[in-house]
Amino acid sequence: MHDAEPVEQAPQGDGFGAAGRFLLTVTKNVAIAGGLVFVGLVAMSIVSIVGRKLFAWPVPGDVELLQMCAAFASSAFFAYCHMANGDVKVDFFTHNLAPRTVARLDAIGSLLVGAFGTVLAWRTAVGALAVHEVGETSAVLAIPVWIAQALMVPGFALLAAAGFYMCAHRLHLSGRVLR
Amino acid sequence: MTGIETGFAIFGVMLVLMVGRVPIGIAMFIVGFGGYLHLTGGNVAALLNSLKNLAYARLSNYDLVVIPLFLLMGQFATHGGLSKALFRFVGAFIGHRKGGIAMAAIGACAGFGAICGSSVATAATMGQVALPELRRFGYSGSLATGTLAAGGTLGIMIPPSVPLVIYAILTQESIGKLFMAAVVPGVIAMLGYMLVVKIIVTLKPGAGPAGPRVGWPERLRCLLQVLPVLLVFLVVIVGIYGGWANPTEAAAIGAAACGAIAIIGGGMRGKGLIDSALGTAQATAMIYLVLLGADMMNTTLAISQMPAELANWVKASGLSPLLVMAMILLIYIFLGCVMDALAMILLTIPIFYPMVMALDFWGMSASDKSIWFGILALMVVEIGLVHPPVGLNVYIINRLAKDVPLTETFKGVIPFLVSDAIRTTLLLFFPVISLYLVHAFKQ
Repeated sequence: MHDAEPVEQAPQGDGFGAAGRFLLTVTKNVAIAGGLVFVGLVAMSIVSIVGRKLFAWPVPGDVELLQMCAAFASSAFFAYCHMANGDVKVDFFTHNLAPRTVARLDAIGSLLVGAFGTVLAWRTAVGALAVHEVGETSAVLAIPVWIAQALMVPGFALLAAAGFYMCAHRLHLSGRVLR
Repeated sequence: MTGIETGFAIFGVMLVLMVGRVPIGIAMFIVGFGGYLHLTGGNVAALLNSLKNLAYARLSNYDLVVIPLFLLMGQFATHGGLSKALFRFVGAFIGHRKGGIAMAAIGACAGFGAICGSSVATAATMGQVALPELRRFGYSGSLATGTLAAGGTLGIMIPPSVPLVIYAILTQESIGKLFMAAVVPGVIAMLGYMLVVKIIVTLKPGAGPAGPRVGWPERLRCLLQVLPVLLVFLVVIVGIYGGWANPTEAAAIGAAACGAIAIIGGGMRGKGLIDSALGTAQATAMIYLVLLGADMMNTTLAISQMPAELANWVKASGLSPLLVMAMILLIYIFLGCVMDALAMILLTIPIFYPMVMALDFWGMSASDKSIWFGILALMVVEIGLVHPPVGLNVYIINRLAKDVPLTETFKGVIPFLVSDAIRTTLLLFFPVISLYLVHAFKQ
């Protein structure tokens, strides 16, 4: 159950090829961008709280902005976490197995992560289209809700790519390096 | 199959997947997915329909946003050098006593826990600051590392606490009340750990020598440096509980304050900001992936009615409520051998919560019972971070202390586990410890 601690970075890009290094760079920058969205949300919340307490004038629609931005910004985090081996998993029962077996088990895990990302990207896209047709908008600013939902699709698609890449990468490792 | 049988089948398959190193969130999602199809007689259309909104509904949840915000706050606090200031501050007051520097490390962990919602981050951050000092003053390896591994758990015991936020969201309990309820047990935990150090150095004076005495002018200077921590803690806890900021706003204020401290006091610049964003991203994704999987699984468990049937069965069995509670707590300790705190909470609360709520404990009201159980669950999942075989904090601290063998660290942790056991028993038999502040400051 090793969650990579936030302070210390997990080993990254262990033996990645060019495609893997590219994917790692992309996922990392997307995750940073998502994190910076949260920094922006903090700033907006402060302006809104101060505005409301002092001048009875909060940022209009602060709650809905926070919800929409938080949703798509969080979806940007998943792919990097998987590329950096950050998943929460139980490794107690397998730490005595041969590295090759562990790499194969992890390849299955990554394949399932890829499938999960694919399903969520697909269903979230369908969901966004459905909301688009209904024309649902947010209560205060009248922002179409489908936009926020659609912005989550790239995050999950990237997670799918990360899962499939890591699956191939781990199979490759189990076949060559760790024989 | 009855609901209970389906429920158990779901858990069985999930455990197999988890043992095979499938990420916990994905394992939960898969069994939820499969179980849903089984229970609805293969209704793929209904399943696909329910998935359309799964991610957006969860990730746009207003209360849930406190988690990335608290994680960001912890990242800023780490960059702001607050850990060092806290350690110096407590050390200035008690460092000259025997074992005083270890006690100072515990006090500093508690202080850092007040602005950080994660145990692992607390252990890692305080370990980097305090471990070199402890070794410099000649503290034994087992005492130094045991103290820090145990002290790290104060990170989640003292609010803000990420597992409590998850508990609150799962049970629709008030985050403010839970945080308030965790304050006294958290302080008791800190004092208990300090007492453990005191007993150890009384028995083995060589294990923890005294540090230098520090004069009052220096003490006051140290106090000034930790005032921001106190301020942030008060704003977050009192703000939430007093009702003038909701938890999400309070977390934003806390994050902004720690960010300002990091920029002004800690010299955080562009790189620090990007590191903080990335650290927040990874820690959030870890939690959210488990959360999305748990959503799918809990939908299926609800359809199976297993939690309700199990609760009824336990209620009808006539087992003593305290015995049931003791069994639940023991299950947590066993699960703690293989799983982390959040996964345990997400996995078990949907099952145990209805069970606990169906039982009668000294005629406690439903809302009291739900808060009391939340605190108890927090205490026992925290124990999993330090007890063998996997205690994550132990590994983190041990990795920092290269000259101390792992067995020494685990030996060093045992006295602190005794204190954990005593505290948990106290909280079990005296709910008033958790509920006192909640009742004293009624909203």
